Amino acid sequence: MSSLLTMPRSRSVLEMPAGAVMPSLGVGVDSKSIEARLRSIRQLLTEPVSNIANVRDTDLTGATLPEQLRSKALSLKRIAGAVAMHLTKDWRLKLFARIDELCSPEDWDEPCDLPSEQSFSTFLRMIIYLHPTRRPGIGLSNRGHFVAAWTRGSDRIVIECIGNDEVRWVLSKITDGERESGAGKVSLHRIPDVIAGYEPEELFNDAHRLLA
Amino acid sequence: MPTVYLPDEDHVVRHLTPRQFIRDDETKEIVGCLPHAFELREGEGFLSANWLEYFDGGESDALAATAFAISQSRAVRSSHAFAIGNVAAIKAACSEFDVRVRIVHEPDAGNESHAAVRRFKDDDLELLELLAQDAWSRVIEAKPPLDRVGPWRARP
Repeated sequence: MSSLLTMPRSRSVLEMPAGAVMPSLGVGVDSKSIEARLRSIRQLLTEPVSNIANVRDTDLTGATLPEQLRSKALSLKRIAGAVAMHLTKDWRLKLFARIDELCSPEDWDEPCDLPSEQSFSTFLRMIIYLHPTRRPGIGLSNRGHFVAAWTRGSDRIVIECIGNDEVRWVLSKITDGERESGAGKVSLHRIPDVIAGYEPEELFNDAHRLLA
Repeated sequence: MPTVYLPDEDHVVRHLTPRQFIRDDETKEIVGCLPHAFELREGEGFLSANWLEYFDGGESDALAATAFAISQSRAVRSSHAFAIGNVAAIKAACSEFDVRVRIVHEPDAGNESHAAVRRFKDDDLELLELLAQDAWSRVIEAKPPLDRVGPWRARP
């Protein structure tokens, strides 16, 4: 136990290999959730999930709008392909179909920014980190940021992936007939902490699977 | 021309493209719109909408006429949607966040029923979500109104 106290700060724990055995800290719900969180953080630090954090938005100046959108769709699918082993085939196909819809030249709002690869990498890393079983609705902001929404009845959480693992979130929930809501901007690994008070588990989970 | 404020009991319609609303994965029915549907575009000083009751007739007639009016300035396709909100509810939602909006009739080139939500601020995601989830939350397919009037001009 004393070795734990002298252990350097959490970073070295997070960087332990995925299969490493941690000293037992207890078997309660808290310790299980801490273990699950550490497992998720380790996944973010492991290749290829860590590699996609470094993608940059491609500069397509000079190309026509349909060319730009086609190129963006390809680039986004390539990024998802890099972490394909983490996604179920079913959800990957749905994700690709949504990318095609979002990058359709026919439906494009010209004053809006093109979809951002950096935002998309944050989106995928967020999915791998949060490990939801409910599939999110996916949209785009005017700035080309990917937006994920998990809805259950009139309750909902919407998370805008800004990029570089930063997100903007808003959660609204009906409790005892009253709507309560909260919002903020955090690093993606802080999402579970900042929304915990809203008991969001039901928003993120149902019978579907997104991750392999 | 005097300023025409929209009556509290009337409605405004916002045109949505597929990136701004969510469909159910399985049924493909619209689940709702994202708060980002109410973001201002760069350089936009007001939130753009259309006054539904500007046109006579029932709601479906007015929506078909609205679809036509919007199509004078931007492409409206059957894959798109319209969000409908009540004027009083939108003003009340905004005032919860100390945003005192004015919803006025401002005809735009060819778009006779165009309305502007003036003094609107989009920097508070909670306000945008309140609009999306409550005050401006009725989202309908653009296809039925379009089917009543088409074919439509392509965007130049």
